[in-house]
Amino acid sequence: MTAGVSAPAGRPAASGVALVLGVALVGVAVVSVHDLAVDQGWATDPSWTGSLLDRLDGLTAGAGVVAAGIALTVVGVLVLVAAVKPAPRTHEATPGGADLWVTPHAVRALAVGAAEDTTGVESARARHRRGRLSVTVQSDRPDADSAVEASVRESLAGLTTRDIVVTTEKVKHDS
Amino acid sequence: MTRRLAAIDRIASSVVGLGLAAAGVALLDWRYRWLGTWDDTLSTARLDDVRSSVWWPWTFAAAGIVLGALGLLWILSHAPRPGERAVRLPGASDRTGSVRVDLHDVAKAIAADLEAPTRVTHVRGTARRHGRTHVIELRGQLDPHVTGGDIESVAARCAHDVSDAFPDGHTVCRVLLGHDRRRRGLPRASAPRVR
Repeated sequence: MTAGVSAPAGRPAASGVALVLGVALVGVAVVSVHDLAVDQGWATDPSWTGSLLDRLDGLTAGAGVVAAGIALTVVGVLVLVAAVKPAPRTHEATPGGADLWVTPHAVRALAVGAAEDTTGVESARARHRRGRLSVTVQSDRPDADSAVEASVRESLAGLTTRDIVVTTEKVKHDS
Repeated sequence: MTRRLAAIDRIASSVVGLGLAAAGVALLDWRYRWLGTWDDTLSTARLDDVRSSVWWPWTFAAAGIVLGALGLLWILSHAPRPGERAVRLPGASDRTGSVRVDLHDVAKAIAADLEAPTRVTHVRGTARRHGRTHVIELRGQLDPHVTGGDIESVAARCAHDVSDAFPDGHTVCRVLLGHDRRRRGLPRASAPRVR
């Protein structure tokens, strides 16, 4: 990783909230211009803010207010969480000296590709679990583990520091 | 996305989140009287007075237009930014003249260099600025049958080439690799499967 350059990351959740707020501000502009047009007699619709205030006038604290209160509180807390949530990491750093980053999905795809290229392996799947890369292969060879592990390690050399765990599921073939 | 824009997003989201949560708690307090004392019914008479004044429609419209323009700018500022282009080389420039290099073209050339000897496909090069550092960013898709060591050595060579070309240390090369399952990889290298 290069000093002074932050790790690659996706868009933070706050960015999505910001887009919604931006649209809301544009909405405020539309409402304000509409109401000005109504006030000046350029439009014949009723004023939107006037209609809203008419509806709110005389409101009592009933079930609707409780529902709105709960909804506003929940949305407010979710927005606060989005505001402080860090941007998602999109790539993993590689152990070498180069500023090289790989997505976890690419690491899994490489592991699966290497496992499937190993002689005697019918299919393979990989997943990240507790900081390890767990590769499960289907093979009819009992000694496939070591060959697959060597193949996966060679394939991922310089791309990941994760431990690699290989599990073989025995496949039986009808003769 | 710049750090400043990210900070603005976070601050605005925090303020709005706090406001929404406070409004929600106030509505619940109105119903259950945990903290304050409230009228039983809501009266909008004062707001109606303001709304019916002569100045209100114009003031509201002016403020609304300003807020709408800010909102529009805010939305547009989230659009992906074009990469950096001409950058002045301080080591090769002085009072008599300056040398500028188009980092976008450099990034494209290095992307082609990365793609040619490896099984990394769809490599795209862009130049971005991170603070004082110009980052030549190469994004590509890994073929699942590639070997990591080859990639690492080619990435290291790209970084070396960039540091040779820009010895001031303010321009670096970064390689970001993914795997797109929608794009078909290159054919399998070997491996007869179990039949």
